[in-house]
Amino acid sequence: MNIGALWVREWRVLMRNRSAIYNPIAFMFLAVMLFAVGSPVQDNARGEYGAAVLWLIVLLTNMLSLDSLFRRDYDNGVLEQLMTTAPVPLLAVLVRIAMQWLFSGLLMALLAPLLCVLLGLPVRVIGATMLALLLGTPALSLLGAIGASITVGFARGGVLLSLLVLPLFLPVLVFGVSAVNASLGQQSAAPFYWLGFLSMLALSLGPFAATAGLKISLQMQ
Amino acid sequence: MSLTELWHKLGSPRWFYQMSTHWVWGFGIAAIVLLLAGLLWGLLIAPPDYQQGHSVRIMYVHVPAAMVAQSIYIGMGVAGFVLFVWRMKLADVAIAACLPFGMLLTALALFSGSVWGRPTWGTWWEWDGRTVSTLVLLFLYIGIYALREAIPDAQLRARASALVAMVGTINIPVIKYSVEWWHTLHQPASFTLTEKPTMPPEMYLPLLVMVLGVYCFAGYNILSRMRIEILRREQGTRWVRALVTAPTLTGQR
Amino acid sequence: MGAGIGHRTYADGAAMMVFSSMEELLVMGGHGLYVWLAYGATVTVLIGSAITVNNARKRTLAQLRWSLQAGEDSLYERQSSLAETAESPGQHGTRHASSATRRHDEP
Repeated sequence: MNIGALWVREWRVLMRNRSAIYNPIAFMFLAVMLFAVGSPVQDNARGEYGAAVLWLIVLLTNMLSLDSLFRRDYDNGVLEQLMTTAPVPLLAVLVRIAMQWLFSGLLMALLAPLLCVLLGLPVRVIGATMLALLLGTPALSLLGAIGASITVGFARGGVLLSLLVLPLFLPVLVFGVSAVNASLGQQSAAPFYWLGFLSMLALSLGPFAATAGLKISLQMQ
Repeated sequence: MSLTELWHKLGSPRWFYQMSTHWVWGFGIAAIVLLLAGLLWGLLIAPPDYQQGHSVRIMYVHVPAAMVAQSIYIGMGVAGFVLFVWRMKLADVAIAACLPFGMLLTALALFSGSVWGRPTWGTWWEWDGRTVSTLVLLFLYIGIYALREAIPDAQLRARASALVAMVGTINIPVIKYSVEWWHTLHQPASFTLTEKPTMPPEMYLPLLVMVLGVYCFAGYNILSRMRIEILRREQGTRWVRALVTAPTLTGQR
Repeated sequence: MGAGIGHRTYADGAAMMVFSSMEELLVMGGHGLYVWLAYGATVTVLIGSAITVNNARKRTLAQLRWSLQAGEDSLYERQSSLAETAESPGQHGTRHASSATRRHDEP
């Protein structure tokens, strides 16, 4: 099974199951709308917290899409087959995570201009936001996959997933907000480097941990 | 005894139980002495701070609690690594034993920190680098606890909690650094726990005594729990039966 | 605390006792509530943990003793009932009863 076949397979599965893409994005816009409606009307108040709210919504949306990362294939036995027949299970897991990122993190980065406008962030921030999301969301997908892999066997794994995963998300949140605010206040490239570092760190640890987690979960069936 | 021999012996619950008997007594007595001395020293003898007055005494209980709580988690991470690499069952016993006291100590650190903050900085809670790191530590502990509660199978429970403990341990320095970096951007140079000014010996000596005392107490607590768990797990063996049915009270230690 | 030497300043190295009265010890210059809350919580946690661990140990030992006793009692009952029937050999019965508790010996 080469990488090409894995990609094609993931693509087909995702296309058959498009709600896994739409639901999180719909949630994202709903959350933005709720924030806009619930927050005070003056523009400055909304602007100050804009970056934080943006990243908070990104985090929660990511968690929503994580829950279904492995669950369907776990339930119908495909995951077990994949892990036992694939010559390198790690690769299969990596491809899956990459596909998930393409339709969550990358999608959010592309939608960043829309999000920034809706959240009341100034236009000059859009470039920084896109870059920050691009650099930071891979870490979210990779680290989140660790939590998803361990909790996929639980019927009500949702709360446990957030408990395990949110501490891992915290650094990304911190640097992500700083990165967005960097173009507003202090001009500093440091947060972007940090986001890149976090994603690299997640890339070096995440797939291994997720594969180990899946092996454990599959034995629980 | 060479290191590899020692390592292999550690895999034997019986050997560990017998060896830890002395350590438990040692830690227990050391803990009593050090904690009594440290508490009285910090409460009565140590000087009040120039800026904070007497509330600085809370440092002598808060800082040890926070330090040891973090060390215990890192210990769990190391035990998790040992379990994954060498499949040593005792490592799972260690993780289970560390959990209750670690959580309690983290909660104590948060409580004492909050209580310290009120007279010193005016608020019961302040989001700064240290408080966030400690709060995240509590969530890391709760995560492992919830995970263990959710998995009935013993071996899978062991591997899953080992994995989560390892990932969490790697995360601890990342969180610490990122949150402290975040707060140095926002907080002007006020006295935070992150920058300790050079302490005079009248202050760091009782602190040292308390830190050592809490470490010894943790050692006593964790080893005791490990021994109880070993007895439970090995209850079918001859040595446990002999130990349990020994007639005298001192013979049961 | 007795007759102390009074309040000790930061640079003072000579004084031994910091509090000159019981009053001062309790109030601690207005911070008494906080200091005592923190120290009280700490002492409670430490003593509580020690008690909890000791109780857990006693309980476990008692449980193990009880279950061993139950195992021996059933063994005794089985032996005596087999002796009464006088038809099946006693050896067979004891071997069967003992295998339940002697699962695996230590390494």
